[in-house]
Amino acid sequence: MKRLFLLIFLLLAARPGFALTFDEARHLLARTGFGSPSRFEIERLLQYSHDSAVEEIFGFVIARPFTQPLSDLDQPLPGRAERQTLNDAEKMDFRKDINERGLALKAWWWGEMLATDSPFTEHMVLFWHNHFTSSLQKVKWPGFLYRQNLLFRDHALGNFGDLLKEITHDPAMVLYLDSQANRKSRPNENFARELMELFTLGEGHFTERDVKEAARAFTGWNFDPRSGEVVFNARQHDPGIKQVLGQNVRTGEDVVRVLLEHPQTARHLVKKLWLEFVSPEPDEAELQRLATLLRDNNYEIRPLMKALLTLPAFWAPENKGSLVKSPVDIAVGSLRLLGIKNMDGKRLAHLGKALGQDLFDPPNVKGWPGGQAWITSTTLSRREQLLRRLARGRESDGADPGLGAGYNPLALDNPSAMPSLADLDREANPRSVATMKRLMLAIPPVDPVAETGISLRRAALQLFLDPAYQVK
Amino acid sequence: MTGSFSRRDLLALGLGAAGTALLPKIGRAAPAWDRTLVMIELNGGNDGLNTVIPYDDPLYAKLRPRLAIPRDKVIHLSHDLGLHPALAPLMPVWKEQELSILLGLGYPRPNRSHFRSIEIWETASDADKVAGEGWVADLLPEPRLPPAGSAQHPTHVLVLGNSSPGPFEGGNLAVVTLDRQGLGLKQTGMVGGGGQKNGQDHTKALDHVVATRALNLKAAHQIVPERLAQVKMQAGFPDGPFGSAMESAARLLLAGILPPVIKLSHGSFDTHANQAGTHEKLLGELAQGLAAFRQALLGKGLWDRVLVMTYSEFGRRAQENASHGTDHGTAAPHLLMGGKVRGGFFGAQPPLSQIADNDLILTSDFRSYYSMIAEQWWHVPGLPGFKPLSGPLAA
Repeated sequence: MKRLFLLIFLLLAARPGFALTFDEARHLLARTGFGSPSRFEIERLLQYSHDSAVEEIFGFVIARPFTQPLSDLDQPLPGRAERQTLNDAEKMDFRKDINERGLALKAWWWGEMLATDSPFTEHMVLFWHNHFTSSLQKVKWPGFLYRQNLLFRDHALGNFGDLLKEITHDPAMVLYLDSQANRKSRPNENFARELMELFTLGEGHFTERDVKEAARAFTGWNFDPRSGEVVFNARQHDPGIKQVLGQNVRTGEDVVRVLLEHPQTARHLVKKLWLEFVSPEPDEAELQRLATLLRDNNYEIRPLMKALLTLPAFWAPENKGSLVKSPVDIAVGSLRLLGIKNMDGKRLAHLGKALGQDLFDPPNVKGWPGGQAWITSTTLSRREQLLRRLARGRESDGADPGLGAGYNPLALDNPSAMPSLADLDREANPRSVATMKRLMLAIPPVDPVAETGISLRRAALQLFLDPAYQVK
Repeated sequence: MTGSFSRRDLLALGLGAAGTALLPKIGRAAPAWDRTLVMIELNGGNDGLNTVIPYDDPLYAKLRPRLAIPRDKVIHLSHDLGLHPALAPLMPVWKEQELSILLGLGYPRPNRSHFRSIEIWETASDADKVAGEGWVADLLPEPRLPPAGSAQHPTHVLVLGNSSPGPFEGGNLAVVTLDRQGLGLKQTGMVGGGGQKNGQDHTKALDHVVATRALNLKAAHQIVPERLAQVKMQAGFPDGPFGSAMESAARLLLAGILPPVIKLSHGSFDTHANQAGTHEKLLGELAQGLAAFRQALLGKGLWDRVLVMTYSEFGRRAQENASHGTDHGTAAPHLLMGGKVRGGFFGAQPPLSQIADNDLILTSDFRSYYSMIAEQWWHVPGLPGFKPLSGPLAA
């Protein structure tokens, strides 16, 4: 009986034409964006059916950054000759300059996430950053990572095959995975291995020999420090025939083609997207169906994402609250929920690092493991600390009006009204607390929440500190 | 551990006695919780061949035309093996015979993926089997573990800084992660309520948050900054994340907090390119950190109650690459230190004349290393099928 009821519910929920409920709109935005959409964003979606709400979210996706990056961020790296003429003091300055640019780069992306009209774009770019990882720590020159970030924007909902081809010649990637040192006489396997293990097939679907042979095929694509570009150097390329996954290949492009032909590539990618957007426990049959869909669509990401976001499993009640919020969700999402858009990007970058997600500096080539690993005793207490400060209005530049800022996200009784700071210190009532729960949490709170005898601010603080706020 | 009985399952089924009867004597002594194992993970795969150096082997210089440490720079410990010069701070420990060097640790059919290989080390599985439970979680018999939350054992495992909790996962060990300063808990304890179920089915994600919070609240009563701040520490710890984590570990122990395990990390040792300088710096920090740690504990009589072990996902290729670096390899030596350690070399150095595909062949399985720690340090049964390495610890 319970199952039948669930089935009917799912059919109704997935059926196009029905307008989204408040909870559904919130869920869609929370999962595609940063975990805790503002009331304004939710209400904007209420007029749409499930299908057209997804289209609406896709419609906002933009290839160009929303905010203006620092103008000198993509300046070319000074040539080696130029750097060698520097004296010690100038070298110190150069290093300091690089560090400052690195922080500026991080601050720019955090700021972009906070300001954008399309959190979904940023979520996809972040997904690609975590898939095709590169780190500032190794690459050093921030301009290259900025360029890579623009590449992810160009292909955010584009074609995976194209992105894969581009990434093999991306300067940040070439420097990050030592393709730089991949020469005919002595191939370097780093890129070839991660290409198969992380970017396409996944562990267990290739042999050591495939790695060695693929590394040979990619020889010759080296970074040229003079131009700051990745160029093909025929003298360093091994032109012989190599065997990768049982097929004869010559070039890196051939290897990419063989990898795209392999069914495991689509399965690997689809599973990763499922874990990011749907639930921690993918359904094998659905994965297979989606992988086929991805291949049938020649690796176009948009139809795949549409299929993912309209899956019954995406909307299933038991999957609500099944994903742990990332540090980006906690930091950016909470600020967006509160309508605070003016926080300094550098401050955000430091916060993100403390919470375990230092953008442009993933812990290793596998990226952030995510899921439950986001929450350790340390990061949980840091999350609580940040949320406590936010609720108290103490987390911004100078005087921070906190919950009362701008459009009031918690405009509880009358959405069109903008309560002042003093309003938030007025007494809560059961109705206003119920509204806050629906806005702030994906699932009911774990701890009992007082509904009377406390201020609205105190009620918001309770919900922020409830374990349920940590999931989406 | 999926699909097979874990040691703990056997114990829980009352088969512990039968199990221990098959193993000699150990496991009958009461488990020892008055001591701490300090696990140091060398992230990224440490180059064993340039750590413990077969300086007398002509093949060494041949395989490492640019990276070989010159014979006269190597710290000679025996007629054929020596240490990287950056490890000089460990010489007093060696001379006191409190440093043992375990040679040629690895596992059959080595995997060269960082992630898979560290998972194998963390779960003590075979190369082709995936186990869900970390080896420490599997071996420490939680019914006999001291309850977490006391002054001495606020938790079973303390992870310092950004270090993987892999060896402790899957069981019921209380694992608390602190930042490198040994802090991170002062903010907890404000929220009331222990995370009771609110009439709803919790997702695993939510359960994890609730459990972590409960652990924080419990530990927060013990690991308070004031308690740590009272400890007077001498200088000598190296700058950098590793040095500060080692200093915090010493501070925690001196404050009377002795969890069964403290874990921290050092690295990255993933030296694919221009290895020499990076490796020297990392080894230097390692040696200085270890030496300072010993000094700090010696003064307070705690050195006998601590065992320090290193491990890493793999060593590196015997032959250097064309980028002045080394690629992912296989077997490597590891260090074991403490007041109860018997110093010296143990096991056999993998001969360079018998490398397979430019890789060293293991001479000891790392799981025998774990069994030794289980049986001779904690006095609990080791990993079935892996006889403890004999020598470094008195049984």
